[in-house]
Amino acid sequence: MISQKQPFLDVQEIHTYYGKIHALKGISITINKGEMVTLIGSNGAGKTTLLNTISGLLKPQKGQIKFEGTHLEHLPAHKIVSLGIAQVPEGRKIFSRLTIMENLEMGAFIRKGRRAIAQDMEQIYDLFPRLKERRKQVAGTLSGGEQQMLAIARALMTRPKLLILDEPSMGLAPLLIENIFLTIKKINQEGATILLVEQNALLAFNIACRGYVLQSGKIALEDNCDNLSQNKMIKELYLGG
Amino acid sequence: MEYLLNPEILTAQIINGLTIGGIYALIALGYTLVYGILFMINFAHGEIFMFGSFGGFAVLTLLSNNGFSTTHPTLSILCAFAAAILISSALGAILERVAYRPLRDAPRLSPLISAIGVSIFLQNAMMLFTRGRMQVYPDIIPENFIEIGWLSISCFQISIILGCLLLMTGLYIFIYKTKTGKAMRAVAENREAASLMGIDVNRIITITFIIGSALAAAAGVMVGIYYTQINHMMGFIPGIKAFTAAVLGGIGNVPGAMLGGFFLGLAEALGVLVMPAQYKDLIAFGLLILVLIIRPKGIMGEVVSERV
Amino acid sequence: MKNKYQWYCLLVIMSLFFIPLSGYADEWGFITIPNGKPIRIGLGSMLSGDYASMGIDIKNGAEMAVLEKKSILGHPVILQAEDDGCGGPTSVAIAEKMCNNPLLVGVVGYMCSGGSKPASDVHNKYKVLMISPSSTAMELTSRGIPVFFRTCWNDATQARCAADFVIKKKWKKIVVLHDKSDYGQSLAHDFTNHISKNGLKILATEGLTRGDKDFAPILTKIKFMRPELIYFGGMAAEGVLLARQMKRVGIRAYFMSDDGCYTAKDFIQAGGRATNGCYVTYAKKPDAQWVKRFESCYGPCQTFSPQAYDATNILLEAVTQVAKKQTDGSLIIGKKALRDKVAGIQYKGITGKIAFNSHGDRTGSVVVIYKVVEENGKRFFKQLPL
Repeated sequence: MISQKQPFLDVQEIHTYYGKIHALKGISITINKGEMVTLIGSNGAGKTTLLNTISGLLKPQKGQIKFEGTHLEHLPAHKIVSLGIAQVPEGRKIFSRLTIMENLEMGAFIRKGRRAIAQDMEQIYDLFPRLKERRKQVAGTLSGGEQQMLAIARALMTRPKLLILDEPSMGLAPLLIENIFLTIKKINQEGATILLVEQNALLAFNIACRGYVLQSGKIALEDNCDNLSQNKMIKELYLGG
Repeated sequence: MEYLLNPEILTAQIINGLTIGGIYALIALGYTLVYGILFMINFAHGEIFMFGSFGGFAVLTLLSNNGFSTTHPTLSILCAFAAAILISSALGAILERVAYRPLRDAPRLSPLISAIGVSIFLQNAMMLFTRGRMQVYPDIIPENFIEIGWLSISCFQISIILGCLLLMTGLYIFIYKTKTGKAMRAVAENREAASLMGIDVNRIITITFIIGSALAAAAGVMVGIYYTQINHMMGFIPGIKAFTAAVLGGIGNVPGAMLGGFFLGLAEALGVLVMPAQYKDLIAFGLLILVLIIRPKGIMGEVVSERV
Repeated sequence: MKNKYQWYCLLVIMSLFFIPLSGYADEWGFITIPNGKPIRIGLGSMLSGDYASMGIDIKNGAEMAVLEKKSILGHPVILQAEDDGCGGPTSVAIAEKMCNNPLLVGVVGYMCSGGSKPASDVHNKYKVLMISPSSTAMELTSRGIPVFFRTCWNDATQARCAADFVIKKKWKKIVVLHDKSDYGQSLAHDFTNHISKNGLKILATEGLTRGDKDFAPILTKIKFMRPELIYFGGMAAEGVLLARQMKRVGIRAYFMSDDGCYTAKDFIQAGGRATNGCYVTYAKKPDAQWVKRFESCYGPCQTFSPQAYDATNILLEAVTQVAKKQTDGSLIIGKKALRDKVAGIQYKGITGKIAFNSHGDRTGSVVVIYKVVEENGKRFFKQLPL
């Protein structure tokens, strides 16, 4: 299933420790350009650890990560961003004391060219009109759903080739979740490759094309989403029977 | 009490309070900037202030020895400020790299102990260098007074107050209007999220130390010119007072530190009028305790909460 | 009973063996310096921190005396300088260290009264001599410590000298300041007492903090009282700032202070023009020749280096006279003999004739008034006629 040409993101046999806990025990995943890949697993399976290892917040003990042929294992997080990987962290982690506009500016921190940045910002405001209304407000005053939008918007401002989303649905009302997922799909259709971590497996399988199942630090399953959603074990464990 | 009702003495005291308050505020900003970003108290900040003062002293002495300062007094003083800022900034950056960065992930007590160690080290280094002697700033500009009846206001005082306000405005603009300033605030709030935006967190932390140190250096030169004598222990009391001011204003909060500094200076100056001067420090630290009881987060303490 | 008697006899006989060896007896015991070992002179003063300047000056004075002496009866003399931080606990620790050094004959120190007081108890325990060049607190010589002497004066002498001068000048409106230290407070207290005894009143007494730089608030308040004289009990670091800031806030009063401000560099040079006309109390001028010699080695002579030099020399002189050379080349020094020698010494030092009274204080009048004057473009302390 791996095509002859080099995969977009290639994670090979990585081992990551979280303090003394051996969190990732030899994980390999690949993502091709333009794909939306989802990663599911129970709490503590190592999803966030994997994402943080890719984005450089954590360093793998062993193994290698290649993005468009560049090794990421030893690069600091801020360098990885400039290669084109943006992560929307779990719990959003927006800068609540900065205004919405300043949050977006921070997203564009690595970029040069005022005009392009301003254009992107307008596009983002089109995508999230709520943010435009409140752009002068301090981000801490936003509601949970708006904060999630801001977190995604902020990541988009880096102009990512690969967008990593860590549980974007967490703590949101169902209506909002749908809204956010539609947006994610739109972003993917516009050309960004997406790695989506979700607890709500059903939702994830609906919009992604391939999926990995993570169990206690190892890949338990890998398949396309249609097959995964039919899988008996997954049905029992993640889709509520 | 009778003094408080006398308008002349009151004005004089307010000017006295604003002068020393401005200096407290400049130093307090360094504490607050570093605390905001690293959640540690840089107890060596008083020594950075002291080194800045000595840097300015060295340059002014040199310039006054070769006669340059008599022909170009203003330029000489600007040179002194520049040298002081250079020395202190370099020192601040080195300290961060050598004494604090290796302890970034250690328990919070470790960098604190490291800071105290650095403080003692710097004091003693300067003592060995100066052989423990008081050094005297050369008189570059004569001190003129504005006399209004009984009142006499030194032009130095006015310059210090204005200088402090100027630097603070500059800092405010830097933090709230420039990209680097915004990145500083972002790093202060969430280091991981900031690095996910491509912000080099270490660089921002270094810049924070440099800015805090530069402000302390400016304060150091002002103290040198105004009080004329400096020694290796000069950082201790202003350091503690400025720290108090930072806590008063709400540590980690930039406008809070400015306000806290002026507030403390005024409280000390006016407090002397209502009680004997030996209680001056009591006023400062009594205020600190009072504010901490009533408003544990300081006058300008954080009110924004993160909604989840 | 009989058994005990036997032991006693044995002891007596054994000690009879020892006495001829050592040549003489000493009820406090002996200091033995083995052949080839140096004689150590201890020095305890503040070598780092706020008043390191004064402490290093003391060390320089002692060092100069030791370097000049070089050796006693073939044993080299060396100075063991320790930083006692001018404080109680550290001084005690240093005192224990010094007294337990078998090669140490005595200590020049300690610098501050606050350190000398607890340290003198330690010295009394081990019966090791101490001669302070600078601890001026009254109580030091009233506690019945036989091993304590000082080459400086005491606070009461100094405060009385200042007060007498004020009375003579007929200044009436006086404000007293002190730095809240034992030293500053006791001076302020003695000064006030003596002034009040003569029917004069003090307008106000205020305290300030050592290490503080900004005295404008307190001086602004004092200005309102329109004083003729401000008396300050404290050190030069604060004294010079007071002198300068008095001019700044516009107080037109005389300024008078104590030995702490008698330093050419830290007071006159640091204060510049503002110190013109300031009065300080201090010992009579040390020998001019000596000052020249000192300054060629260590730079400007500060405050207590002459007293430290004399204290060290007295110690060295006493050791020279008391030490007995043994056939194996070692030196034996009786502790009591050494103490008695110092107690009875008639020494012509660079600070004048030195003799001690039964308490360990210097006899004779020691303190005089100096005024800062500017003559031919040079500013210096000028001793006023008595």
